[in-house]
Order: sequence, then structure tokens, then C-alpha cells
Amino acid sequence: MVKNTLRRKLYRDMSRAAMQFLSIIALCALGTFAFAALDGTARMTRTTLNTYFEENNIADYWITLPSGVDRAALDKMAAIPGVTGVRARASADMETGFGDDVNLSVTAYDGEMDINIPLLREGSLLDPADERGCLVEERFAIAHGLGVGDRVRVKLYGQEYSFLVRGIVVSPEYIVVSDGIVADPNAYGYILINARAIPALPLTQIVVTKADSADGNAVRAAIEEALPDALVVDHASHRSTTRANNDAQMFENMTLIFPLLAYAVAALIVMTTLSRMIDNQRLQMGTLSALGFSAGQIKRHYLSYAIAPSLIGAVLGTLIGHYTLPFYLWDAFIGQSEMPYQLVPPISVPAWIMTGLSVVMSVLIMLYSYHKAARETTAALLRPKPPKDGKRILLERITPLWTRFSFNNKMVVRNLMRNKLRTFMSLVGLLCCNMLIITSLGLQDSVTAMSVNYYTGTLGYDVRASLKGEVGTSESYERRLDAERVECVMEKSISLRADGGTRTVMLNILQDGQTLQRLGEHETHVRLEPGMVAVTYKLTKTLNIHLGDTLRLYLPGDDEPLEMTVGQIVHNNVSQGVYMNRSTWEAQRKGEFTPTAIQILNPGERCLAQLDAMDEVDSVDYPADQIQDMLLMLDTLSSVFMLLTGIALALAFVICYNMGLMNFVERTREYATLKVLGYHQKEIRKLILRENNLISALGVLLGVAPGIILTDVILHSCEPESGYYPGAPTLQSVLIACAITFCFSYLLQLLLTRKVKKIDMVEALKSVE
Amino acid sequence: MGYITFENVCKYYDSGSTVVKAVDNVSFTIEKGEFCVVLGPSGAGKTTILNLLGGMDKATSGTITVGGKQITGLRGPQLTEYRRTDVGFVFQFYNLMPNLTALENVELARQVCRDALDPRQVMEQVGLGKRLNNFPAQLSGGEQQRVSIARALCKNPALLLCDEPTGALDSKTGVQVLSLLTDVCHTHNATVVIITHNAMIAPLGNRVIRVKNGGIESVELCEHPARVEDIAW
Repeated sequence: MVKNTLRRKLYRDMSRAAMQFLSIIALCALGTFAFAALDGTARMTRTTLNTYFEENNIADYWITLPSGVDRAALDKMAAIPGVTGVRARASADMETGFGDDVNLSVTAYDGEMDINIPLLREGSLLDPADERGCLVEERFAIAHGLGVGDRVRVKLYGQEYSFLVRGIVVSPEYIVVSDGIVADPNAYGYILINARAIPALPLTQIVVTKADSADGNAVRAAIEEALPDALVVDHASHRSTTRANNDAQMFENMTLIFPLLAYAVAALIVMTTLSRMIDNQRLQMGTLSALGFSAGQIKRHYLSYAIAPSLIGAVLGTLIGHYTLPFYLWDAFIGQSEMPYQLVPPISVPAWIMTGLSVVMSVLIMLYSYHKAARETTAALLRPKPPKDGKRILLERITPLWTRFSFNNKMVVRNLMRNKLRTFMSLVGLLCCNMLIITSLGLQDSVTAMSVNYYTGTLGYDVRASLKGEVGTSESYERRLDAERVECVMEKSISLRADGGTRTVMLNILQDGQTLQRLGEHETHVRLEPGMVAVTYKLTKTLNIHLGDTLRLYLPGDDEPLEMTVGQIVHNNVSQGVYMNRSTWEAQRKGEFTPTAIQILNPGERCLAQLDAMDEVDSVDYPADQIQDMLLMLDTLSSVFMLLTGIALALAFVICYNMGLMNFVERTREYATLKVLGYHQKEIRKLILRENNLISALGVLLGVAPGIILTDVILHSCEPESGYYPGAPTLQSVLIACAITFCFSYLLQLLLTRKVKKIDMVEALKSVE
Repeated sequence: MGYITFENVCKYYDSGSTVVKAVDNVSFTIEKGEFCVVLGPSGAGKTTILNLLGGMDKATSGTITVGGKQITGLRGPQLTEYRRTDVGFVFQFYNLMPNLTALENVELARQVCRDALDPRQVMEQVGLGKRLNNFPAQLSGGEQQRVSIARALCKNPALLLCDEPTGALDSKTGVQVLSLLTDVCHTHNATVVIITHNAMIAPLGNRVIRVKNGGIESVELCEHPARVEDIAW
């Protein structure tokens, strides 16, 4: 019976303070929601990728041997401890019978496709003896209306080969299928065939798997030792797996910082609110105690105050976060990637821990507040808590300033100082909200700025033509092409070994006195030092390289490394590598300067036709188009940023509402007195608003710097190894964020102060409760 | 026609099935400059009368006029205007703003009133000239009530409404507060209405209105009311 009455009191209290309880539920839900959503997305991606890679036996190493793969090389690979599988392959991009601009990456297996096993969508897999069949990528097949039994024609060295589609597949080594920035299944795809079908295609690649237990670096070192002239690519540098992993990593890193901050802010506000609610219940606590309720009963009663809303909120947030947003983010995420299926992992242990933590923290603060009150005697509890004394504040001691304040302003300032905790919490709440909003807008700004800076700043040319096959000298292109300026570059994939580790990176050899690549920190022009190499900033950080260090550069097909001194640090935010002058390269006597690409500034009318006529021109790119592609790709990120902005806004809303409500609830009596004294409703509202505006303005201003810093921290945490993403929120975004936060706070107060109307003046005449 | 008139004033609280008649068909008058005591046990309806008179609540029926102004016909903002210019309130529990000093609490009233008196002078008058810069928590109950009276006086109101002004005070300070109120009545020529359940205060009034069960029990007029020092507490 007793228990029931107490429970009834609980329900009544909750419905009376419904808005306060609701705001606690909302805050708990928001805190866990953000975490569960991003954690769920990250795990969904990871689980799917890992399962896919595991079940379809993804290669651990892709080894390219320019000289060709022979029996001996395969045996050497198989003999390395830890290696579990070895398969020789050939791979080439070929023109097709689908049109001029449609290319296919053709991978030919020597024997069974037991590494990077394709996942069959339709038809059947390829028999190793089948020389007429092929497997086609699903998206390419859809784009070109191909079905099982249709024909695919490809051209190699002028010879045409025709294959029958046996199956439609997706492949674990082609998570990202593109020869540019954005996947376009109309123009590019892949097919898998048996090597014997095209004898003219030399086997130049070995794919290798290792045991899970084997040490990756040791195996890699053994491979490089056994085949010194080979170029070894592992998961960290393989184009497709890297990008898939990067995207997953990005989500994982985001789950770390942003939601944790949102969670912390929410928790802070929940704890303050709860402790205030208990403080305001002291008289009732005393009454219950005087009536003879045991301490345990009272404690349990107030514990349900904490447990009920935090449990409901936290669990709700986790469930909604885990089972809704990952699907939405996933769609944006796979816009670029070709995922085989979607695995929904169960709610993770960390997500449950966050949920539990919400409840535990609420309970702890409740126990703390309870014990603080319980230390007093029942009699003391029954007496109203003496209202907090007014005090002289520091500002008043500066008399000339203080006397200039109007009466109302004096009152506002005193009020803020009198209730330091509430002022402080509102300040922190607004600060964090502004910080999070700046961050979410700033992230968008930064990635946009980065792509713009790269394609219009770092890259100073208008057209880039990639070359392959029989290539002429750079002088011949400069002479022949109709353009303001023509510069050739030579790019080579090399294995770079420094004290800090080994990476497969691009060696860029630029013309002496080149002007079309601006490698300075702010896309300024930099002259490369002769006789030395320049290393990109991010790479120096990854491999712990310093000016003056000696690097070893292993060229593919050459076991004698180049030993070079680092003379400069250059900046490229999109790809990391090593740069040197043409004359420096030629002095090393490792071969001619053979251009791999032509960079063209201001092409003349005839220029494109001239490029078209050259057999060796493989593809032509325009940075102006690439920037669009890049921005399109960044749309994937946009959905994440929008989510973050949404969470920040929701948090701002609930915090402002909550703090405003708390202020209002605690000061109803004061406002009632003012009303009796003849203050108009408008005047009271103005007083409340002025007080609130002061806190808002201060909180908003204090949030600017942390917001800018957080943008930088988050961006760096989710950049891939090849990228360097500096945070650069624009002034406009900062101003917008400040305006949003301030207006939010203002509008909410406007809404709350309408309650002034409802204050019963008789309240002021009643005894102090 | 008196300064204050209640004519057939009713105040009913409708709580669903039952109607509580807090004030039922009450009529009385109070003359200008009178020191009037409204006396009655708790629940008799005296607070309701004060609320209606102070413009804090609206009557269900009947008319109330104060100084020729019909209060019962006023709307929200007009009622506020009435409270801020015509009425001074003294509360049982003082209701001072805890974060304003004594002087600032008085200045608070001046903020909203056009022809307010000088707060310092009013504070002198209530005998708190030396406690101007103390916060309410640093003052005794009697001192706080005097600040509350000063706050009401500062507006130079024609009508001073006091709700159990001595209810939270001991007898000695209660006497001080009452003598201050009678002084005010004479020096400011203000009409003072005191609501109390304390019959000891009754002899001080020029007019004593006894309230019982939501109606008027009796109205007594007294040409020469007792002096504060003489009443037995």
C-alpha cells in the first residue's frame, strides 16, 4: 500500500514536471543515438567487408613482376613461411566493342580462381578449362544490358577477342571500380577470364594469401627479398581495398570523437537537471522522512526518478540509432562502392556500454544529491532551504563601470552570478552546441576547400594526358602540341624505405623549372632542389622522415635502390609521394626521362585533336571536371555531416529548452512577485530574455575557437593515409553557426517566456515552499 | 460613495462537480485615508478579497471600484497599470528579491512607477537608512518586512494592501511594523488595508471588517482607534 502511494507520487511528479522529464529522456536518447548510429554504420561496413574478404579469400599481396611470372617465382612465393595460396594472373585495361570510351579491366587467371573468388549473382562460375567464357561485373552488365549467354568483345594489340558471359559477378578486389574518381559503370568495368583464352597477354601478376597468424611485415619482407624487382602491393596500398577500408575507418573515427562529445554534453546537462530536481524536492523528502518512511524507501523512490527517464531515453536512442541511420548512411556510402550484401551486426558492446553508462551516471548523481540531502536532519529538511544569498560581485567593485549599468542590467548580472551552476551549465551547453554546429558546417567547407585547392591550386594545368606504350620525348610534345605551355612528368610506383617503415608510393619526376604543379604549403610555387628529393608533408609524418634523412627508393624491376637525401618538404593534400627534378633523375642513371603524362596549360584549338591522334595517349583528364567528380564523391560525406549538424541542432534545442525551463521553474515565485508589483508581462519577459541573451552571446563566442579546432581534429582523424585534410571552416559558416545557436536559444526563450502569462500571482502570496 | 466599494461581489471556484464559493455576495465600503482591518479565520475568504482588491484575481460577478475606477471592468494590461500606480503590496513572507540589496529592492518598485518617491528617503523613513546595502539574507525578519513596506511606499500609492504583515514576525517586531503602517496611513494620507486572522490588531483600525464563511459578519467603525503601544499582544 505504502509502495503504491509512493509510486503514485512518482507518476504524478513525472506528469507535473513532464517537460523536464521529457527533456531528460530526449537528452539521454540524443547522446546514445549519435553513438549507436555511427557505431552501427561503421560495424555494418566492417562486418560486411570482413565477411566478404574472408569468405571470398581476398589476396593479401598483389605482386607485379614486369619481367613476367615463371614457375620459379611461384615456387619461391609458395615456399615463404605463412603463405597459404599463390596464383599467377594477367591483368590489363582493354578497349571494348561497346564503344570508344568504354574500357574493361580484364583479369586472366592461370588456373582456378581460388584467390579473390568472385561472388556469383547470376549464371555460373568459370571452369578453368573454359577458354570462351567470361564473368562480367554486375553493374557493368546492368549498364550495358548484358545477361548470361551474351557476348563481350575486347581488343588487345589490335586483335579482337570475344567471350560468352557465363556469369554475372562482383569481386572482393573491386569494391571500388573506377579508372577515375567516380565509378561510372557505363564507361568502365571488369571481366574475369582464363589466361589461356588470350595467350598474347603475359602473366605479370601474382596474388598471394597468407595465414591470419602470419606477420604481415615479415611476409612482405620475405616476398621483397625473394623477388627484388617486384612491386608489392598490400591491403594498405591496394586501390580498392584501401578505399573501402578508408571509408570504414572514417566512420569509425567519427564514432570516436563527435558522438562522444555530444554524449558528454548531454550527460552533463542531464546530471545537472537531475540534481536540481532532487534539490527542489527536499521539503517532500523531509516530509516523507518525518512520516516514517525508511531511508531505503525514500532512496528507492528518488532512484526511480533517475532510472526511469535515463533508461527509457538511452535505450530508445540506441535502438533508433542502430536500426535506422546505418541504412540511410549505408546507401550514401555504397554510392561509390560495390558491396556484395549488407550484414546487420547486433548492437555492439560499446553501444550497450554507452547506454548503461547513461543510466549509471544518472543513478550516481541521484545518489550523490540524495546523500547530500540525507545528511541533514529531517527537521532541517522540513525547513525551507534559505534562499541563496545575494552577494556583491567583482564587477561592482569597479565603481565607474558599475554605476553606468542600468538598474535592470545590474539585476541581470547579479542573477547570473548568483546562480553560478545554472549559468555555467547554460554557457557550456551553448558553447558545445556552437562548437558542434561549427564543426559540422566546417567539415563540409573543409572538404570542399580541399578539392578546390587541389584541382585549381596544386594542379596548375588545364588538361592532363596519360601516356602508355610507345612514348616520345618531352621536347617533341612541347614542340608539337598547340598550347601556351606543355610540361611532361614521369611517374613511377616505387617502394620507399625509410627508418619509419616502407610504403609503396609514387615517384614524381618533374621538368626542371616546371610551373604546372604548385607544391608549396598554400598552393604556392616551389622550386625543387637539384640533387635531392622532396617528400610530401603527410608522408614525412607517416614515415617519420626529416630534412637531411637518406631514403632508399626501390624501382620495380631493379634491386639496386636509389639512395637520396631529403632536401625539401612539399605539400600535396590528395596524394603522398616523392618528387625530384628531371636532371636529378637523369644523374642517377636509372633510365631515360620517359614521360608518363603531359600537362597542358591553355590548350589551343588544335590541341585536343592532336592528342586524339596520338596512339600513346591513354586518357585525357580535365581538373575542371575532376573537381566536379570529387565534389560528387564528397556527397557521401555530406550525408554524414548533415547527420552531425542535425544532432548538434537537436542537442542545442533540448539543452536551451532544458536550461530555460529550469530557470523558469526555480524562479516562478520571483516572477510572480514582480507581477504583483505591477511589472507588465512584457517587462518581465524582457528581463528574462536579456539575462538569457547575455549567456547565449558569451557561450556562442566561446564556442568558436573549439569549433575550429575540433573541425581540424576530426578531419585529420578520418583522412586516409594518402591525404592531408586541414580543417578550414569559412567565416561564413562560423557566422551561420553562431547565428543559428543564438537564434535557437533566443527563440526558445521567447517560447518559454510566454509562460509568464500563466504565472499565478497568488503564488507570490503563499508561503515559501 | 466610499473610496473603495464592493458591491455584491462573488468569487466562485469551479472545480468540476462542486462550486466553491470563496466570496459570496459581499458588499462594503472603505473611506479614503482609513486604516482598515479585515479580520477573519483562515478559509473565511479574506485573502480572496485582497486578491480581488489588488487586481490579482477577477470576480465572478459584482463590481469593485477604487477611487472611482471600476476594477472589475479592467483588462490584463490595465490591471497591471492599476497595480503599478495605485496599489502598494506588503506580503506575509516579504518576497524580496534575494539578489538585490535592500535599497535595490526598493528601487525595483521605482522602475515601474512614474511619480515614485526617492528610495533613500523612504528607507530613512522606515528606519533602515543604515542598512541600504545589505542583502535580504543579512536582515532580520522585521527589517525585511520594513524593506517590503518601503518598496510598497516608494510607489507613493493611494492604497496599501498588507497580507498578514506581522504573520511571520514575533510580537516586538510585529509592533514596530504595525506602528510604521499606522504612521504611513497618517503621513502619506494613504488608505491602508490589512488582512489578518489576528484579532489583536483589530483595535487599531478606523474600520474593522469581520469576514466569515465567504461573507461579511460585521463592519465596525471606530472614531479613535487604539495606539499601537496600547494594544495587548
